[in-house]
Amino acid sequence: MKFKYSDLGVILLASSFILASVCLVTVDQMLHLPDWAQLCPGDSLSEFSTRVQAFSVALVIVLALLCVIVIANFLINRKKISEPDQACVKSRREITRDLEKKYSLFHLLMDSSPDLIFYKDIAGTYLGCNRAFEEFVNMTEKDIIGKTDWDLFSQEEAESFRENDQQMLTQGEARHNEEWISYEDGRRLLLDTLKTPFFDETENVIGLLGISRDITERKNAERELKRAAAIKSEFTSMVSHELRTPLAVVIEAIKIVADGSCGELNPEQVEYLSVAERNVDRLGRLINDVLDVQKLESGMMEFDLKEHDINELIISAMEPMRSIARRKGLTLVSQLDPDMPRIKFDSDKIIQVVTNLLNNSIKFTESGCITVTTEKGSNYLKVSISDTGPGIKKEDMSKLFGKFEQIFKEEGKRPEGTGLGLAICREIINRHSGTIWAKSEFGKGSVFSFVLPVVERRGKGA
Amino acid sequence: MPKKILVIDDEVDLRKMVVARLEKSGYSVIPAIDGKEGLEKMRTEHPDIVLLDLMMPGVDGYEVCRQKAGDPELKKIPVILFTAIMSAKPLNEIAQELGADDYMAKPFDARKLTEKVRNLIGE
Repeated sequence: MKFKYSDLGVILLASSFILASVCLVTVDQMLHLPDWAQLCPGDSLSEFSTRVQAFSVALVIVLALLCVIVIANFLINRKKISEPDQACVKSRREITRDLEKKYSLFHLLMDSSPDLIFYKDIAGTYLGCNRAFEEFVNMTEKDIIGKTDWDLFSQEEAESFRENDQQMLTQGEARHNEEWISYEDGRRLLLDTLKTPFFDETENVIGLLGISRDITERKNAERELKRAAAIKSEFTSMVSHELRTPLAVVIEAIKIVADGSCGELNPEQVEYLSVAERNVDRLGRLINDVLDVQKLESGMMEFDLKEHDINELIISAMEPMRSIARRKGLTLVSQLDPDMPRIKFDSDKIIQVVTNLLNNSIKFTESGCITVTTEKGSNYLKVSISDTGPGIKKEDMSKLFGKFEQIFKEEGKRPEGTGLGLAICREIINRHSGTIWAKSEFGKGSVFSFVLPVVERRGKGA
Repeated sequence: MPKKILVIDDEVDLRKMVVARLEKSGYSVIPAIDGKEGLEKMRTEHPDIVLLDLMMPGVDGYEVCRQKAGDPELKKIPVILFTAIMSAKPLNEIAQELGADDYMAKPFDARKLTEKVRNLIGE
């Protein structure tokens, strides 16, 4: 307790009045006592009494004045002291209000998240949560605080959650877990829960923060996707078998008659049988193309990457084309850079690409020549096939490598082929981490090119 | 005496064409519709070579190979496998595992098949 002026004042006031009253009474009493009267002569007695009375009154007045001064002083000081005091109180109120506002903002933010947010201490007692969590466990935050997982969930679930908690706390860093929750009505939910420890100022773990997201739908969607993919690939295999078998039979049946094994044929029979043969072959190619595209897209196609010489490959791809080109009166030329590095690629697939491009060039070119070039680049090798055909219109360029896209050679005439060839080429080149493109000037010709990256060989000599 | 070929395949038309092609090349061909008939015919007809489809109902090609391998009489007969299966394992591995002498993927050119037969048993 602070010793204030007020206390001094009170004491002084009290004591002075007591003293004064005592004085007055005592002196008065004393003066009227018979013994006292004997000591002093008559007149001087009353004179004395008057003097004493005057003195006491003066004394009382002086003391009263003193008290007044003291009290006044006290009052003035009191005002001075209370001002800073009030200021302290005011700012303390402000601070608390500030904190409350921040806490509500924090809580508002937590509540705005659809994810479940909750935090527990290291013993597993809930310290707080957001609205989503309240709705999830069907309890208010007030009721949740102080409870453990065993109060909120089934025994099994609580045990597994605490186990996850412990694992995370031992590791000391954030962990993701997938946790299944069962409702009383039999519903099941899959939650992706991120648990992370939180620390105090001295870096000690004082609890954990958990954020859970409902991923039941996502998991279901994933499962559906997987199933669909499996069905699709099963379908592809089945289709492949079912389509190819009768095709093989037809081809065989036609061939065995067409090659004269069943007797001689007249020219008409030969002609129509060869029509049948051509178209059955075309059907076979279409089936192969469609299945190729399917395999490529579903990632089922395997690539046998081995080191090859691209020039050798080009030469062997060009061989079977020479007779066709000659028949059409076209020149087939190759300009191969002799300095080509050996790189890894699937030779069957790249032959498929080169053959396809050559086929296209020959198909669309009526006269002139088709040139195949190979070039070595800084970290790639480039293959180009150019022709002196009709070229490609600007508006058709973007569709070129699309599926089932075909350029009409002549107006009204349906093009041959499946429209998948270039799409397959692009898939194959892309899977080799390369690029394929075309350049053309309508009326002058086209150049189809692709590049394959050259990967630096590590160690093992030059 | 023409060499005897046993063709085991449940696909009637395909079998018919294979038989036709082989007969035109001068062989004597015995058809079988499934694994059971195939094994029976192996025992009764003593073919010089067996052409075997893998995918068949009931006793399939795998089973035929197994039983054939277990029978001292049938073990020696050469086998060419053919199948349309697109499985994860490559066909040559399957052929090796089953002890086949050669294989062809369906659909095949029957002339190529004839060549393979010729390579194994001659004309």
